[in-house]
Amino acid sequence: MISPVLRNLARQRVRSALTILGIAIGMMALVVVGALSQQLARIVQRSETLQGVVLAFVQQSAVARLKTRRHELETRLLHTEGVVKVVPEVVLPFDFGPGEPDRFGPPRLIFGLPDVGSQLLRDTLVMRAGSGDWRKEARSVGVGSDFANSEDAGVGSIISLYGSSYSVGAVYDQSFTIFDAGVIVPLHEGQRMLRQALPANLTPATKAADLATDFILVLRKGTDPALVAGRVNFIEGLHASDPRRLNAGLEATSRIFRSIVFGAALIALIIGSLSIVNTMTTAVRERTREIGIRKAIGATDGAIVAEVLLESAVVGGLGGLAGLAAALIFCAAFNAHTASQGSLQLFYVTPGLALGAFLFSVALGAVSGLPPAWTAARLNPTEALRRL
Amino acid sequence: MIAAKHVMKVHAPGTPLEVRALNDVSLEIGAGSFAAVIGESGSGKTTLLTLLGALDTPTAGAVTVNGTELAAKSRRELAAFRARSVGFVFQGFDLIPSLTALENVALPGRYAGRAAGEALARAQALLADVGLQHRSRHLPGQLSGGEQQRVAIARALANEPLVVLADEPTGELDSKTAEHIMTLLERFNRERGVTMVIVTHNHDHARRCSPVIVLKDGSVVA
Ligand SMILES: Nc1ncnc2c1ncn2[C@@H]1O[C@H](COP(=O)(O)OP(=O)(O)OP(=O)(O)O)[C@@H](O)[C@H]1O
Ligand SMILES: [Mg+2]
Repeated sequence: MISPVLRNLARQRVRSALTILGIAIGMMALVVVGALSQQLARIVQRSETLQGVVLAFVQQSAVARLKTRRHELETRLLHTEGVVKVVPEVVLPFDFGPGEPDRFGPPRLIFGLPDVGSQLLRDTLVMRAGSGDWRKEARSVGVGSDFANSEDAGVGSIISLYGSSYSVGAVYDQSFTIFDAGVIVPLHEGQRMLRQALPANLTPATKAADLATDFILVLRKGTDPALVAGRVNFIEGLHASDPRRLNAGLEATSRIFRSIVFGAALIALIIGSLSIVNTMTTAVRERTREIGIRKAIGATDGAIVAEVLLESAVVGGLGGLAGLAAALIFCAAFNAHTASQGSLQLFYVTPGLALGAFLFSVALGAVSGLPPAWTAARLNPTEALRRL
Repeated sequence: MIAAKHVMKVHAPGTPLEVRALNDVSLEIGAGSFAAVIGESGSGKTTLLTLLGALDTPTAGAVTVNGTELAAKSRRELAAFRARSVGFVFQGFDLIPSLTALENVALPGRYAGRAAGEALARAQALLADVGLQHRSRHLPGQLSGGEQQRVAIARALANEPLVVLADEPTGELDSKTAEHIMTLLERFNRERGVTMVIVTHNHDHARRCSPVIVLKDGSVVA
């Protein structure tokens, strides 16, 4: 059933190829944008899972840090309505300097976390390589997947943090959270690094063990993080942001971005579909006599419509497959490139997206075939047979 | 039996191109006949054939096939009638260029609602009957004129029609090949009892037919 269609397409090779190319370009654009939104959705969803448990990053102001009011603030946080547990952490930049022009995605950070902190992230951070016991080893750290890629670090690699050497005890799977680009060290190591970063005149008065830059709050189930964030912000020296606002911001940006690119992809598809209409209209005109013969030997209007629609659906489907293949290659290459730089991977082609795109291209082809199919079906057979 | 009663056909009515192609044509062709339609160019032979084969409707008058009046049929019923009861053979070996010989012969079976396997099996048998079993996978462009016309005859017979309407089936063939085609048509008429109506300019061929309908300026003169 398909081979006569392919023979017809092969008879007008250039014309068919150009039409298929038109659809392929539109479908490639659509799949790439689709892959981008799938990836963004995955990132948002993962970080929402994390936020179901914790309200991350209640920041201590620099002044509060230096006054080492950590214990006092911890107590006040613990007494805040909705907070079940308070875990101190030290967050430091991995590198200073003029920024990292070739990277996008979250900044690379060092997280100094106590054992309880690691427990909290158990569901978020899954070990890819190494041992969960790395915390028991001295000068051992865990690294995120993007960090490992960019630094070419594996279990046993030595990395240098704030002047000291550490050995990588574990590499985590991609979690689509801020930890992917980061290094996780025990809290006391983080505190030591932070102390080194303090101005020299302050260091003697500061005990490393008292330092914390942030607190992770474990919330009571069903508590609204926004409410807790609001309460925390009344405590002097602390700043909490509603984590969902971060997501909302990310989503709003990506929504605008997506609608622009989706618009472009749709325009490409409309042009592609018009070119199918044009090609099939020409094909029907060329085959007027053939259609007359088909009618003479008993084709119903429906059979003629079906034949034209089948052909245009095949054109759409071939364009869809070509576009899908191009999109897969593009996404894989782009992801490989960003991964090698330790940046966020941007594209995620799900099987559903691929299948949906293919079916859409077939449907688009069929719909584009409707006007010429109708013309063909309404042809008067005797008139058609008089045509050469 | 095929009958035409006071059939008139006006092409392009109401336009400057208006032509009265048939004028009060009445005729009867008995079941199993091997009939010829002859006449000068423009006398209305093709027009008559399209009316008998339900490809077109008369401006006035009636065409009946086996007692059923074609005018009473819907568009859909006419398509079914063309698929099951009529076989067409055209002058220009009109096979579908994108289909193989076998697929061409199987096509009317598909249009008549047969399953693909059954239609192909019947087509294979018919191709063997016209001596072309070894050409079944060839596309029309890969066949000679005579071979194409044999495939067209096999296609016309695909649904065991009541009547085969052939419009100058040998018009573009050399005399030897034309003779072969005529013999083939005669054989199918004899063996299967299919009514044949053949438009021809060849008087030798016409002499082998009965009845012979002679058209002149849109009227039957003999
Ligand atoms: N669609 C049409 N519009 C206008 N005139 C037409 C049309 N079809 C046929 N005619 C005219 O009707 C007349 C009969 O045509 P027809 O094709 O039936 O002749 P014919 O006997 O088959 O001729 P030939 O032997 O050349 O094939 C001709 O004068 C032709 O010009
Ligand atoms: Mg004619």
